[in-house]
Amino acid sequence: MTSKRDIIFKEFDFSKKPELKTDLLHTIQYAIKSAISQRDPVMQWIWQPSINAIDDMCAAAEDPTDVVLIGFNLAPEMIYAMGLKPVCPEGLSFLCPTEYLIPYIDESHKAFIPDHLCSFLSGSIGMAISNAIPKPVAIVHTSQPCDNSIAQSTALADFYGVEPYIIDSPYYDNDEAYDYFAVQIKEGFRYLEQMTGKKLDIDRFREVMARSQRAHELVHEINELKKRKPCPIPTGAILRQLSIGMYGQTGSEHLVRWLEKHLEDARERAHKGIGGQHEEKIRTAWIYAWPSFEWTIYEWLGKKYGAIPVIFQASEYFYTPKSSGDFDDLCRSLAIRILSCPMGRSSRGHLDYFVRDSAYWCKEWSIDAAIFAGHLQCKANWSVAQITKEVLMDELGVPMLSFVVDALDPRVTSTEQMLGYIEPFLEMVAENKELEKIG
Amino acid sequence: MTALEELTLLAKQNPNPTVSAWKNKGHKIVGYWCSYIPRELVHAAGLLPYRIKGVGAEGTTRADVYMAAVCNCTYSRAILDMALNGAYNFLDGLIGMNECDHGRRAHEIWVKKIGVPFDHFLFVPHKSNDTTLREFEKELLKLKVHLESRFHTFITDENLLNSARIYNDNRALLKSLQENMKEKAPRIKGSEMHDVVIAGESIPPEQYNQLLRRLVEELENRPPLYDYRARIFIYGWTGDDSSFYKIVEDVGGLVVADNCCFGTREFWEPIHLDGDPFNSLAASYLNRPPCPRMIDGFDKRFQDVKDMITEFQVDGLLVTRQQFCDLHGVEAFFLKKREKELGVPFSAPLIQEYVGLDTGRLKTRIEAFIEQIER
Repeated sequence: MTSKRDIIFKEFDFSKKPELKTDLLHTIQYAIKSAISQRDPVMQWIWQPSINAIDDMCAAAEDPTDVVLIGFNLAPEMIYAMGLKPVCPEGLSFLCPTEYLIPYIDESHKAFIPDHLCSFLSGSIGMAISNAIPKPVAIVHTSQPCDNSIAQSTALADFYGVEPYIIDSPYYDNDEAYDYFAVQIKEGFRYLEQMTGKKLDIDRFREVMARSQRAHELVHEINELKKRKPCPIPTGAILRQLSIGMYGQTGSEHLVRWLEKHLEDARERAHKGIGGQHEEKIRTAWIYAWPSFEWTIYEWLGKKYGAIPVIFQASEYFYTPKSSGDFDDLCRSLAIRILSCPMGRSSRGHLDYFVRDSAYWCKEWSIDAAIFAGHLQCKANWSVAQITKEVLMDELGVPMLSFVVDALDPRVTSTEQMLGYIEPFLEMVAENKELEKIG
Repeated sequence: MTALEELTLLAKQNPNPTVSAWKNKGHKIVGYWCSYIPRELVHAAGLLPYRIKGVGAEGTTRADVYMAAVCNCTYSRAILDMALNGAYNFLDGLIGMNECDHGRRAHEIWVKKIGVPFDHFLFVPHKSNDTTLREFEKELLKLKVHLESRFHTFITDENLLNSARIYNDNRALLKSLQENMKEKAPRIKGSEMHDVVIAGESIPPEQYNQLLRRLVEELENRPPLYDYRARIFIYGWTGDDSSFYKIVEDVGGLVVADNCCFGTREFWEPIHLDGDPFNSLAASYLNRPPCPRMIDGFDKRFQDVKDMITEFQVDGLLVTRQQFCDLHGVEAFFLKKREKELGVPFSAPLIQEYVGLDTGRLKTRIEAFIEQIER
């Protein structure tokens, strides 16, 4: 559909019965690379984390004897340290083009997976039961960030008939909680040794954790630069790519290289006092989900309103893992790093984590408008939206928009419907900013 | 009034009359959200453990401001609504836990928006092994210390053992009542039994034991129930409301067993306090008939169900859950894979809303299921 706007949004035709792809992984790989190849060559590096993610999964599928399924809130460091290949099924849901993903979501519902289960997860279950994901040798998961995660991990384990190791995430964030999680990481290594016959190489674990530490340090430096006005990032899409890298590739060399490039680019922009392709007028924080079936919408919001995404929940990392290199210390550091990761931190524990993190971002990064795009099936976060809205307005005077979406499925809220929520909100924010200037 | 009538009435009152009687004696009442919170510990502190329920909720309007109607269950919203409307102001304290995303958030919002005189959040692990057992034991000790300091009391081992004995008597009596349903012509209906269980969640356990003993005696003189079309097992979540059971009975089913919270999971196994009381209390609760919140619970749950299907001569399973409950939601996926092993037919999931139960739709589907399996 072409809107009245001078921009073309994707057309989705769900009237035809979509087909399940016989070779889904390579289909996704082809689709991603094709889409990126059509971008400005100077900007193509931005999407490298997506390419790395799908390339790694395709490589893993070629020899599935080393494949370990992991939850997106379990850092891949454990798997890299064992010399195994992590495959994150919900990551695949994210990477999968919408028109290919929808039939897998529907397939899961036919198998009695409830339609209120998170679509990232139901999509991945649909892929598993359609044999589109290689059968793993082991499954490592956590109970964070939410009940959906428990449901998905147990469903995948049951389908494959593979005994899973699911780390029980604590409610609190304190030393006792970190110790509880760290002990389970050690047990997780023993589980992986039993399931795969491989032995943990402590030197490799140290190397992986050193790269993970480096990645977190780079993110912190980038985030500090994002406080500048204008925000020195080439496009908001880079925030999503950062989240793909940090969720799925921490501990890898290619993520470090990409983050170094990202930092170099941000430094250069900051030095020149420039932002991305559009003039920055409204600094926005996407404090929760970021609908990803139509990225053109963000370009449009930048172009029309100067609305620049500065914060995206899933790309904000507080904790940098640091370790003496001792095995116990490595496990504890990894425990804190996993428990501090976005969503894990804000969804598994008290609602104040979500609220205070949102307020912190809005204050420190001088945010003008917060957007809570509430993923339809996210029970833990939807029950924090109102309190967050009250706190942001009362403490900081930052308005927050909330609306229902399915971050992957445009059948719930279409692009046009999203714009119907966002445009009037940004117009209001722009008017208020003008009024403030007048005094 | 018969014991059954008394218990049925207690199940439908919130707060029930024992609250004022307890308060008049100068005693305190502590609310608790979930059956994984050991009531024994609260009782051993000289307090009345009062299970938070949605009984009496008239809507969810105020709660809907904070919890989204598009994805949060009506049960948690109904309870939060009651709290926001002051229905739980009689409580002297509240113990929350991580039973599910809906329940824990409702607890957090309740405490944040209106406060409670005593708030404790009990972290309960999602699986049972040596590591989680140690963690849960520590959590229970923290709760003990918190209760002692806030309510100026001591929870001695002796008190705890005594409370465990009283609650185990509750469990044993309930189990004997449930076992009556193994008979070809039981003397108590599933809906009645469900009310009996609900009543016991929020009254002094000593009083409950007396009522249960009277009920056991009464049953001997009740006429047996011969007139039914099928013996039904309810699998999933029906909450603290017997309406679902009544719909089954209205169309000729006889509910003889279940695997539900506010059902057999509550009382099927006693707790064992031997050796270190806190360690064994923690072990008993982590290893009780598991709720779907427990990551590693399905195999045991499935075995329990299969055993009960045989023992209670079940003709079919009605699978049900609250709308938006992911933990119960995925159960049908597991059952489908084990259809043959189960040995009896099971229904497609029947979705319930706690407030505004759509009786007509459920009745049609349950009747259709019974038509397929009736004797």
